[in-house]
Amino acid sequence: MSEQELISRIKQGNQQAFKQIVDDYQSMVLNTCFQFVNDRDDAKDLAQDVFVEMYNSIYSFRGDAKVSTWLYRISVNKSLNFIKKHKRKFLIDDLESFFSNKSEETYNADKNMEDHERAKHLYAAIHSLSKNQRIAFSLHKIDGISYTEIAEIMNVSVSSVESLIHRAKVNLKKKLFNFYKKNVD
Amino acid sequence: MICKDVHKKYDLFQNDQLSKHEMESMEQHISACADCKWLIDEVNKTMDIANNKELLSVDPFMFTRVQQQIINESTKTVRLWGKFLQPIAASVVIIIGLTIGIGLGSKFYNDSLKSSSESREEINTFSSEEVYFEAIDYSSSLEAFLLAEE
Repeated sequence: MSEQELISRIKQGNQQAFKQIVDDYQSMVLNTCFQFVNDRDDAKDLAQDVFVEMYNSIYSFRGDAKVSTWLYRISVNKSLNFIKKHKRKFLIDDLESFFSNKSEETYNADKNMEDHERAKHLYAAIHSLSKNQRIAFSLHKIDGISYTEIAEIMNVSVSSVESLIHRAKVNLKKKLFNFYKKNVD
Repeated sequence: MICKDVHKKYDLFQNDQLSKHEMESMEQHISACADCKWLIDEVNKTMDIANNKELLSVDPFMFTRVQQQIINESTKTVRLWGKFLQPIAASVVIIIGLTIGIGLGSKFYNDSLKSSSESREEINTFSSEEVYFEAIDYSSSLEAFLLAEE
């Protein structure tokens, strides 16, 4: 069954068609939210909200874009709103650890612990990027999503996406370099 | 090249914007200096995490959870409507009641005013006619009476 057929069936109130959409796109939505919020439980809650919003706004979907693009867009917006809403929590949990000297403890920890710490530093660095760089970089890290699709989701040109991702990588390395440099000093 | 130069030129180094000679001397320093090597390695390892980020496994109960949330939200909306509609409906009933009451009251008032003015008009008409007859009848009858007495 094509996406358009599924959507028209959902509009008619067919729950089976809606279940198929949820099953097909759950992994994509879940991991997109996870890229942004970096917390399993929050990502699950957000994914749930994404599908609820999709269901509630199904009549406004005209089929101009692919269902995946539409769902990516909802996921990104929901995740960014969530981060904005819980800014204080994110600032305390992540940025504090990013700028503190906790990484000294990491040297003696095992590899998993080191990777966990690195992931935290990376996430904090991503969080401090500009909004567009953050969105482009996070979407780029999701499997199978092309520059063209990112451009469609963000409503920008493909060359802008390339430039945003390149600048995001450069800025991330710079931020991480400065952070680790503090530990060497 | 010393560590400070590496720190200063890292941005250009990672963007391949250094001259060939500078690139070579930077690479030489990094491979020889433990601190700089650690620094660059740590940045690269951290960036690698973004490339190898774990994927979350799907939740088998996601659809059930979504369905439940949709039901909860629609019930919540109905409850919310009820919460707002109840006082609005009560206010509308009170306003309608007051309007009907005022309407009926003013109708009765107008009716009674009309009937009292009509009766007053009747009295006035009667009294003016009475005065007219009195003026004519009394004078003549009184004169006739006095003459008869005499």
